Amino acid sequence: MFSISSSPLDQNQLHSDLSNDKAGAIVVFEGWVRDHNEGKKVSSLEYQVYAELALKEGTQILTEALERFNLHDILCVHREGHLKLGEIAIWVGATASHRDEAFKATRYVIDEIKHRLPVWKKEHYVGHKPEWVFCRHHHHHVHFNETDYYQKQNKLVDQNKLKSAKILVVGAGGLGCPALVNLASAGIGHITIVDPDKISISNIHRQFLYAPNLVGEQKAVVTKNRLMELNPFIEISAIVDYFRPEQVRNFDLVLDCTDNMATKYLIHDTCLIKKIPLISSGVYKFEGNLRTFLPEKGCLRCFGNIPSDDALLGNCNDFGVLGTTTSILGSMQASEAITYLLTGENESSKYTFLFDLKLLTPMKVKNSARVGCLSCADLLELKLDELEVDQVGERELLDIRQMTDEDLINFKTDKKIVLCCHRGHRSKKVANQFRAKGIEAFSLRGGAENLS
Amino acid sequence: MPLINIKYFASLREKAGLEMERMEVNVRTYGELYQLLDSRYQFGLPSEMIQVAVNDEFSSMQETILPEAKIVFIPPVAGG
Repeated sequence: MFSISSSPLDQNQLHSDLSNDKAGAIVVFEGWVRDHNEGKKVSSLEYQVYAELALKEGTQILTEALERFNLHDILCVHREGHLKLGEIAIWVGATASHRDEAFKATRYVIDEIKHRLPVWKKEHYVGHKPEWVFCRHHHHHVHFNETDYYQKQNKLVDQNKLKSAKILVVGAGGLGCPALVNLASAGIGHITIVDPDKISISNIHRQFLYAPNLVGEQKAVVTKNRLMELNPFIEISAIVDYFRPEQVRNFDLVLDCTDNMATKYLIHDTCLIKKIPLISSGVYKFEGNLRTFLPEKGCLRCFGNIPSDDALLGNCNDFGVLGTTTSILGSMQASEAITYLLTGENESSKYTFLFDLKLLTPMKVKNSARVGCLSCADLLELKLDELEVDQVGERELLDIRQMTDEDLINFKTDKKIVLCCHRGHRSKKVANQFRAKGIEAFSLRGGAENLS
Repeated sequence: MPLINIKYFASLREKAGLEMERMEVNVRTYGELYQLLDSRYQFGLPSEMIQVAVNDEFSSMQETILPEAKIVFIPPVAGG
């Protein structure tokens, strides 16, 4: 009944597929690739179809037509791939005993397909850059322009900064749905979604991008489609997979919207190594936490913490979770992301926020990098203001300006030391050599010139 | 013996059955304090998985307990 074809359509074949001696009429609709759109000269078209969903939806539309109208048969084929001018993009044919029913059914099918089928069209123009157009909203959004879309927020944000931002969102669940909706509608220009899961019926109460008719579909793909509908002016890509460190490249920011500690640590450590800011959140019943990790500004491992055992912690299945909690925390992640992209900092990079939504008492704990943290700090070098006792602990300053290489080779200590030379170059080299000998050594950045 | 204030978060609060408490302790570090409380309340989470905040700032379990410290034990929170 409904199919998608990557090769040119054969009208004669389709016509004869519908032939039936009982039919008194056939009404055929053909959609063609035309040479212009919105004042631009079109040279060709590219159709991208979300096949699994399109087949389901297309079949559903034809079934509806058969139920509504008195037909003998109905057939519809949608093209995908690159189409030249004049090619048939869609073919709909309905046969009936009387012409009226066939006209109505054909009209119904083409209208519903335009509205409901997940199909994207890339128009290639003469003298302009190609543009993706989501067919479902083609008729609406081409009349709107991007500036109007952001009209109500343009006094608050520099839209260009958001437009040029690249964000990776890991997890399209309870935290991911609100985070992604807010990021997409705020106009974050490039969003990548990673989620390996399929939608299940028990997700929907808090994962509001989904609905019962989408159970079994891939979350990342459905989310991508929903967000493209929501904001046609941004780019979205979906990765149907578990989080992997190699997925993190070239992003301005990562949002951890996952629900287990093993993945949270993997994301955290990956961002640490690749020096990419991370906004992380987790919930437990009516409580949630929120923290932004900026490179070298403190990490989860600063104070010796290790990845927690998910079996000990339990998950949403064990302790329960409510949509209000995840919606609030996920929206806060998006809010903190926007603030960070606009200003280069945000409150949750300075403090970890712990919220109790029943008591509405926020608690904030100051974030700081522990000097000498093996994971996050730029360990080898210390700045002058990090020499304060409470941060460095009991470290001795060792001035190596008058010491020879031999002195340094023979130097022994069981104390922590901060090496200082003229400008901080030699001390850095020596700190490395000392560490190889097992001495906990640091180098004073900028050297003695800083001290005077 | 230092007098301290302890606050609990998430699952620790439930296990302890209270949001905060004030007590006098004769242990030296926050780690030892956690062990003590763990044996009392059966938190079921090893101390390496717990973050400790002292006077609203993250600290280390190895640190010596400060008198009148406001201590918060924060378990990992991973739902979503």
